[in-house]
Amino acid sequence: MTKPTVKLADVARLAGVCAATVSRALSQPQLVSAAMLKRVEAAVQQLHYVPDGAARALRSRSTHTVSALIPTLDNAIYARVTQALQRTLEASGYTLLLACHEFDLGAELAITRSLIARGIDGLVLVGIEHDPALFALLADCGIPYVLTWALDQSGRHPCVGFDNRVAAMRVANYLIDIGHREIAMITGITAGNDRSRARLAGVRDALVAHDIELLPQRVIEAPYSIAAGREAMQHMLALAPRPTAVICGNDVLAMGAVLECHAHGVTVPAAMSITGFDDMEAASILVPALTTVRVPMHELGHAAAQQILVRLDGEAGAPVTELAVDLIVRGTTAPPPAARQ
Amino acid sequence: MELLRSKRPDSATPAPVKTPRKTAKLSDVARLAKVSTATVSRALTLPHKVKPHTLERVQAAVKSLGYVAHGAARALASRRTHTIGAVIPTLDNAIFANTTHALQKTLDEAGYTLLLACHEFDAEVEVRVTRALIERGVDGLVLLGTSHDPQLYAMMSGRQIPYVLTWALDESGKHPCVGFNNRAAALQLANHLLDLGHREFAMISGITANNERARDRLRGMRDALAARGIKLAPERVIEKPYSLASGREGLRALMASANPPTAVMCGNDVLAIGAIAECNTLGINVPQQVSITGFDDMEIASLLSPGLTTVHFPTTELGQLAAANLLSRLAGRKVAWQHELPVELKVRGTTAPPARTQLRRALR
Repeated sequence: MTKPTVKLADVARLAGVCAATVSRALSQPQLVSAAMLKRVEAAVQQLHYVPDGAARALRSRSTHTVSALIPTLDNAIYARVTQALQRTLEASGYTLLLACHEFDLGAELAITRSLIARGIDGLVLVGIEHDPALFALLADCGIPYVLTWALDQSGRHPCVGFDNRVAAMRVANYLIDIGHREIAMITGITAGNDRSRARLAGVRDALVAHDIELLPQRVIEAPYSIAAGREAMQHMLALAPRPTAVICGNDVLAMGAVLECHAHGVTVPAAMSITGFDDMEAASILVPALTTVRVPMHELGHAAAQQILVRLDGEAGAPVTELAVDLIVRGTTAPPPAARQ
Repeated sequence: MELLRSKRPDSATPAPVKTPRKTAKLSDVARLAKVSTATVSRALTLPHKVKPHTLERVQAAVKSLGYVAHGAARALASRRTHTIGAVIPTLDNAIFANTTHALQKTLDEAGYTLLLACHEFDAEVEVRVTRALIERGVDGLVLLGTSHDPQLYAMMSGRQIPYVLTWALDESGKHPCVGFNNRAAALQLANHLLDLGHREFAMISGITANNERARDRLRGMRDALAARGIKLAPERVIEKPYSLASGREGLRALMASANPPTAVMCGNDVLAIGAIAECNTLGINVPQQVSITGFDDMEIASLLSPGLTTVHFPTTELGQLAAANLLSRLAGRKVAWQHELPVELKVRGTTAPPARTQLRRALR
């Protein structure tokens, strides 16, 4: 009986790393940490592994490509995060490929399937809500992934993000603290977007805690665009009684809302307070500058890349990486007219 | 209005791509069995490594499709993937994001997926990410601009991958493109400012290395000034990466000089908006003390107060046309080699006659 030949997978198992890491340790040792390299070398020696065919394994298994599936390219909302993601991946020799699903979770699954067929080593997803088949597919193919922009309450999926509900609560609480009671929200589309829903829930919860009802006519869903923000604000301005503060689901909507107030001669913040979410570069440049929630975009992208890289090296990685978000009070919020009198 | 101008309608049309084979491929099996192609491969070569119910599904799919595993790898490499790759400088500019968004929507409607990669204005990274896309088996490629590493063209022609260049027009006539005449756009803007009476010009340009759009805009401005006997002093040209912060820094540096310009042309709207914000900070009145212009006409440009004088580039149409160009060629149809899209000067509130001219007019 001949002894079965030692395979790359056996080395990986003994060293406690993934096959891709063994490949990398053998072909590009400079990309692997010293400790990892030592473990792989020890396993290679112990098993008398002949790295014949390692290159082939490398070709078929490790593509040095990571994909990120983002909802949309529109308005460059995800630009900063993907930029940081790419920089960190590149520093480790990985290429980032992006694809968009336009908030369609079915499309997201189809694209993921096609990406896996094409060969990717890891996947970065936005948000918590995904087709269960997507998670099954990733598990089946052993592809490391990380969810971003939100926190998975179930604890089942690795994630890098922040609590969108708590952040939105903080915005609402601030407005209530400075005297607002007539509060409205222009939210992003909530279907297929758990971040939007969490932000809306946070605003609602904060209001309820202060015995304030968020009236149905005071919640308008709008796609993330300046034009949609303007249109929604136009509806808000026509309401009687008119709200004194409008919380927007992101900065793009808020910029549209501010511009619409300008167009109607409604002074921001004297006659209307407006807040955003994200703290895009343009938020600080608007006159008056936008009060918003600062999402640490760079850290988010960097940490997501690191979590993928750690897993590609066969290590466990952190199940949850929670990032701090800050309320940045600038010029678009002030006490309501009545409270000032 | 004539939207499309076909510059060389009689020129060689890019070769249509071979139609895909009809035989069942590994991916068909994977799709039917609702597993990844890697799982199908594994099920066929290492069946003991696959869960029994997965194996059953794969075997059923193989049977129903009459799939022959022989040459699976080759099929994987040669089949039509219904994926188009796009390589752009960065997502961190709403204008590229909008074009790419339009590109993606048009491809989506035709059943194609867009895979996107960014090079962050690094030529080496561009080669690397393009190679990664080609290795993933894209059916076609969309590139931004006309300055690319020769390796890129070699890779694409080696694999016979149809491609289209966007945002600029290839002067060599060698490459299919859908774009704008950036030089002519800059000429128009500079002439507008010259006609208002400006003589003291400056430019906050984008980085010109590997970026012919930035170079062409600067060239167009220089040419317009030269035609009226005005020289652009070297210290009046500042190159900066496209960001609001750069626009602020550039403006501050220009206005700190003993003889500040009366007109500052910016390489794009983002730089211009940054420059205007800095004017607000410094207490410099726009347009009374300094006129500022952009390029692109982003959504925000018309909504600012005062509205930004800029050149409108039909970026949504650009994305749609780039997609249509590739889709036509993939379907074996002929397309124009060069599409020039018209640009339009948008005079809004950030440009006015220079202060001295205003004074002279007031005294008259």
